[in-house]
Amino acid sequence: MAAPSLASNSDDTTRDSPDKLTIEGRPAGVDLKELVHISTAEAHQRNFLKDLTDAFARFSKPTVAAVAGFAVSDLACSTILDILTSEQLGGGCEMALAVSDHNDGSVTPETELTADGPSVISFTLRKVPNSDSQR
Amino acid sequence: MQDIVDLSTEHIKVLADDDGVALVQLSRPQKRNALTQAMIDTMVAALRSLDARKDIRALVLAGSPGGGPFSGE
Repeated sequence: MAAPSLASNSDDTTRDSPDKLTIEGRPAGVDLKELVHISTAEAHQRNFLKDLTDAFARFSKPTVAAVAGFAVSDLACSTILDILTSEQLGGGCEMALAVSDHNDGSVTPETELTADGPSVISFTLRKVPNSDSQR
Repeated sequence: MQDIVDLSTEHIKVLADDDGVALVQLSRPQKRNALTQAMIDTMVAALRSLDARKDIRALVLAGSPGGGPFSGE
């Protein structure tokens, strides 16, 4: 199963993160104001998002993530997709409905549905150049 | 869709319809649905509860209408 490409969306996460705060490279989507006063070591210790990731991994029923209107900087969205599709943790989501509003022209979701066994479907979303940069 | 009141909080709405499809909806549009620890805790509890309920057959995760990432605008 291909790893979700949004998991490597590190440019955005590092730029928007305060003072080297990283949580396994994925601080995106967490309210950073809650985290800004704790050290990196503490953040690692608290293991933000692990509870949520585990909860999705344990959830036994079909799950669909309805995702709309995301853009490059929409970190909460990419983090949740990351949680839902984490191959390492078994993934929690069978399918994501990815929809872009195309307003900024910078991101187009491309879903690649890959059957991996009888019930697991993964997807990837890729950034594509906007129309201006292609000219 | 009926609100499952005991699972919902200010920023996380948990709903279910008559067909057993649950909807967990992020509802913090003013902060572009950035997850607080309280929201994470709510979602974890909701997932656990929904998983145990016989009348819930599937889950949809979504954002609130007009509310930034994960939103249905």
